Amino acid sequence: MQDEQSLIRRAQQRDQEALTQIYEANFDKIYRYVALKIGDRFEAEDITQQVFINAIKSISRFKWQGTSFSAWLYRIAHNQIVDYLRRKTKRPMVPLEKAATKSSSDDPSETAELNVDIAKVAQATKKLTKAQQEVISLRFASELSIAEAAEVMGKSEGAIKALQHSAILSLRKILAVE
Amino acid sequence: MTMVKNRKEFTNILDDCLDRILVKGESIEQCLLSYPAFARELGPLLKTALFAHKASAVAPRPEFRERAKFQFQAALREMATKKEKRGFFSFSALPRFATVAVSIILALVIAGSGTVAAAGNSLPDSLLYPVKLATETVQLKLAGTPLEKAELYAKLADKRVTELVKMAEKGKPEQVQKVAQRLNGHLMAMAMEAKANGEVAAMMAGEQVPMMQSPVAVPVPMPRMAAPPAPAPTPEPAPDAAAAVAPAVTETVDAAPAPTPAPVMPPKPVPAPTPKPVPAPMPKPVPAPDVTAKKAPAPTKEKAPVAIAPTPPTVTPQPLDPNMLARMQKRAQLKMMVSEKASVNPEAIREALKNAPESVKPALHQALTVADSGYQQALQALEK
Repeated sequence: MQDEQSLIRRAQQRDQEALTQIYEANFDKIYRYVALKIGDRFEAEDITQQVFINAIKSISRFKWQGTSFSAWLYRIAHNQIVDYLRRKTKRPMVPLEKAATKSSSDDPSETAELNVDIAKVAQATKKLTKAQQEVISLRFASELSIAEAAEVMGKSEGAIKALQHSAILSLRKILAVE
Repeated sequence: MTMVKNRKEFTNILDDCLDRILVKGESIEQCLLSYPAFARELGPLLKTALFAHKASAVAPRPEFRERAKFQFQAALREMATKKEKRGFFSFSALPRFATVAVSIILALVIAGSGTVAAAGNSLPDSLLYPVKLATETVQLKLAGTPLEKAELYAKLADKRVTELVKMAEKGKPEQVQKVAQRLNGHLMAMAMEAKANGEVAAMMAGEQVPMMQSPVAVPVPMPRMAAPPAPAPTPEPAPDAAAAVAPAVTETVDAAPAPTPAPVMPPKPVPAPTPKPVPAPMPKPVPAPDVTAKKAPAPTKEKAPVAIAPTPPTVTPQPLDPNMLARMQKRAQLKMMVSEKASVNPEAIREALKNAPESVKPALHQALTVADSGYQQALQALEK
């Protein structure tokens, strides 16, 4: 925590190394969070990039008042997604199933299977409530802890656990139907 | 009460298992062994959660990762430069009208001297190069429409490619890198201008743009191309892009940039029903059709005189707004130009790569990535 505070303080003073460190530490997580919520690879890339640009430009305004930096960062991402969804044009979507995955498997059948899974989950999460979508994205895509997810969503840890439970339950039902 | 307690206990158990499986790498079976009483209910949920976790493991494409990092670093450098220069003078401190006035005066002063002509062909390692960049900034300031700006950015991109090649020939990797950043800025800004008709593009190139504002009156670029942090194509006196983009947030922990309100999208070019101009049937001048409206306004049926013998409605094609036609033509011309440059300029960099010294090659590769993706984005924007 102390380390994070000092890192953020340096970043607020425009220390490039600190800013790069923050970028490196959060880039993939934010990308996955956005990708699962948007369901479009290129849009997710662009939005992720914009999240960090907005973050570095407004980092000096961030204040430690009981909220972690990552919660602040996810809020930027959330706002960026809201923005995107508002402006969504008729541009053809590149669905997530065509996106690269973490898997470095050379086996085409394995990769194809994984891609189908991604598409399934992305589609299924769209049928959840907003809060459930948020929990799934934060917990499983970004791999945030319950405490971190609670901070981002501004809820208690207990509420997040309950939300997580209901989200998985709904997801299971949706996936079973599909 | 007991049900609530059990439910709470179950959510805790579920979370414990998720933590053990997703973070500590235990198997589902191992976790179920710890909670045999809940195994039947817990098992399927854990499988679903694990499935969702694995499926969510998307990774950005390597080329995007590289491009994003490059642009992020460029944005950092840009901000650092601006911070240093802000102490002296900044356009952003001036109101918009004053910025334009200063630009015009500057243009006249510069144009009045012979320096500008001499600087026109200067290279990044030349003493006159800053004059060349300043002149370009003024040109951009004076460009009227977004499409004119886009065209100018395309021309500036050409210049940058020429400079890149020459700097590579001279074996100057740092200069190649700097020019590549500027090239990136131009291409991104060109794409933005082409797509959003200039709402945000100028901001990418270091200009202050008063549009696409958030509820707190701060522009937040959110076009499809996600407003990459293109460095300003020129040094000061460029306005403060950082200030323009930085979301003005309240001094609270909720200082995350807020989403911007839904912007008014620029009118899309509507294909003319007939290319021939139709003579206006009315004696009064007809106002230009509102292309932003999805539907034409409903005809005022109630006020129309009642016809004795109903006649079939005649559909008169609306004459195309000449301004819009001109814009469409300009856009088509620009598209052709960019399309040509999209093959010529990256090719020039590839050629330079063949003969470049080893020390310059990494920077040239970076420049090539920038050029390829930048032109691609610009063309995509122009497609719309």
